[in-house]
Amino acid sequence: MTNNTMIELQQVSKLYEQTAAVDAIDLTINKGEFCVLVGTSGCGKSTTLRMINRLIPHSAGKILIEDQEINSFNEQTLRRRIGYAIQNTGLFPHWSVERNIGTVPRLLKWPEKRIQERVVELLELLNLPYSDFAHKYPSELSGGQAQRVGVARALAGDPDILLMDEPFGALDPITRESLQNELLRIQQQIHKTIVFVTHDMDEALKLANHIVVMDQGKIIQQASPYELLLNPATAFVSQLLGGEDRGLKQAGLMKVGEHMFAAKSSNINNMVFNSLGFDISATEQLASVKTHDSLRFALSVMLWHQCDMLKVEEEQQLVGYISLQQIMQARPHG
Amino acid sequence: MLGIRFDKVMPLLTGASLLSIWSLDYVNLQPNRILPGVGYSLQDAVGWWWMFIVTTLLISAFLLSFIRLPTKRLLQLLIVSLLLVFMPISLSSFASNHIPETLTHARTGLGAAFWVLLFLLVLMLIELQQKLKLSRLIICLISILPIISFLFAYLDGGLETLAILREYNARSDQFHQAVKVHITLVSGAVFTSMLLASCLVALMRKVEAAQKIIFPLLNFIQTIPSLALFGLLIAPLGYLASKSEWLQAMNVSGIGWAPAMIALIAYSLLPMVRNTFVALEEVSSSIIEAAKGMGMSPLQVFIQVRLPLAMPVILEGIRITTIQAIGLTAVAALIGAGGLGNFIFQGLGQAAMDMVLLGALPILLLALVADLLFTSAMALFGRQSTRSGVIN
Ligand SMILES: Nc1ncnc2c1ncn2[C@@H]1O[C@H](COP(=O)(O)OP(=O)(O)O)[C@@H](O)[C@H]1O
Ligand SMILES: [Mg+2]
Repeated sequence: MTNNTMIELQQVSKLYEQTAAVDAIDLTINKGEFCVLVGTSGCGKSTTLRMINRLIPHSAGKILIEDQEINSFNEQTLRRRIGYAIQNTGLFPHWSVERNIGTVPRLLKWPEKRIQERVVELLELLNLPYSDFAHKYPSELSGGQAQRVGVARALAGDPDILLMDEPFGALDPITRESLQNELLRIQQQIHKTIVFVTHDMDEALKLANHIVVMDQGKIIQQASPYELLLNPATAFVSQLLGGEDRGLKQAGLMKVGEHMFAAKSSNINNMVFNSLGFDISATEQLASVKTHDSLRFALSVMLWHQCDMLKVEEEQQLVGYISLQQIMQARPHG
Repeated sequence: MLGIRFDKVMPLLTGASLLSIWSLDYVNLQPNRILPGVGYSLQDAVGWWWMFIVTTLLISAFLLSFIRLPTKRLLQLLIVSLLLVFMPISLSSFASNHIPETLTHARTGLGAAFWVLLFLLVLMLIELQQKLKLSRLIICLISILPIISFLFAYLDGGLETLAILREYNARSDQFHQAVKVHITLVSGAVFTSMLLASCLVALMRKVEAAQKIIFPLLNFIQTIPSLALFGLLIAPLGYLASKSEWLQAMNVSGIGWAPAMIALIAYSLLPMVRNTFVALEEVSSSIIEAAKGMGMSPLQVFIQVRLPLAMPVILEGIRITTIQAIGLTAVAALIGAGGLGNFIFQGLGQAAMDMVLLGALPILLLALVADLLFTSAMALFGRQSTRSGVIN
């Protein structure tokens, strides 16, 4: 254990009348890490998560937060230090958005003024204008808005740790994707230690920098998304990864900007094009992608336009080119 | 056009109302308590001008059912309200037209047409409430209207001769006493059963086995006819009272307030316990889990989250209980508990219907007021409960 460790589970089990929902797992989660527990339903993800904030007492083993056994804390004190967001938001229907978000700060007895400022700050962080949303009630929100409020509420006490149990599970694909993007953006600003549960491998690959694959209460494999894609430990993991779809998933993790060749002076471009057997005069008509698009997206554009070369543009300015060959040879450098 | 489906209920009710005011006696006049009365139709009672207005209003309500007008039900509701307000006024108008000052003992009895019209108007009110999906609060407020117009007519002196008021004037002290006893019994029973129910529910939430005993027991009590339960309590209470001086000092005996109170509480417990228990249990588990996960203590979870979310249903339980107790207390008069039931049973014994009314109408009124109070309280919480729709 280093002092970079936030949460550590040592041989932790949860037994329900002899059957183990979680079976002797070891897990170390570092500070600032986005750790995603993934697996089929019933494999023990939620149980693991809820043992961390003691909503479920663990039957065996040790759970440490910053080197301290969690049972050594007062239960409520521990939970107020850990943000918690769940699938159906669990928002309090009789409280306004503002009051809901203020829940933990109020439990922590912050002064009213500071609570109010915190609510303003969080609503802004989650793109919910204060004047439009603060005084609404949960039933007046769309699913996506309610879940944003749920996330804001989990962050309100400025906890070091954020536990999220399938928070986007009940949302439509488009809303889910925009909330995932938002969560990534927020995490870049706040650097919390996040433990996130999902059964959706795509979501895990997109969000995590540490994926923990679980099956029947055990950890099957833990790795970074790239490693997981490159070396799935068992047939079960590769099945979770979508079998033959793995190549596409991997391409989905790599950015065009990291694998294109940058546009230089037209002479050099010409040379490169010639070496690739291209006619420079055709480049004007090429379809374009952006540097932040994934290689998977670029591949899709190529398939659609039936071509093997794309322009890369940023704000309508040409910044480079990417070819099919480059996509084929791309390997993650992360 | 063929195939249009009209409302059937409103035409039926308005038609029956027309029929009743045109064919039955609206009031009858007795020169004194002994002599037989003379019946008056509505037209005789209030004159053709009023008769014309009432008839026109009823016909309009009748015809409105057959036209396509988005606001037709609201118009019908307006007509029904107007007619309800009119009814007490019609009585004072009758008195001023037909009762000479010299007849100091004259009494106005209410005739068949009066009761039928009142009954039909109430049915129309219920029908319109359902069709318009109005809240009960609005209906309660509308039912207050005729009471206000009654009070005005009364204060104006126009209702002096009304038989029920003659009965009232003859025994106003007794009446006030009875109202006081009635309200004391009801509020005592409701309050005590509220406390008991809280304890029982707390027990049931702690010990699951308790549910299996308490619910069947309360259900069983509820099935005993009220008269039988009152009767059953006479012997054991009488025995206990004869053994204990303390109980005697409390004025407890086999008859009177004590058995009435016990029976009332026993009946009140089921609706109270059931609603409170179900309300608390049914608060969504994900909301409770979130509350715990935020770091609320068990007491905070209960007071800040579980209880407020359960409140509308709990209040509904108290409302049902109160209205039920108001009615049951009337029966308790039979075992000497006092209250408004006294007038009903005395009146029945003497075949004096006005005296029965002197007991029955205030009971109705009490129930209405209780309903209004709780409905407003629930509307206050209900604003939140409509917001508690499941979020997905
Ligand atoms: N209270 C309980 N009693 C008995 N078994 C339980 C209980 N809660 C969960 N389980 C079992 O534990 C296993 C893991 O559950 P959970 O952690 O909720 O799975 P998931 O990975 O879908 O979140 C499941 O097989 C479930 O049936
Ligand atoms: Mg789960």
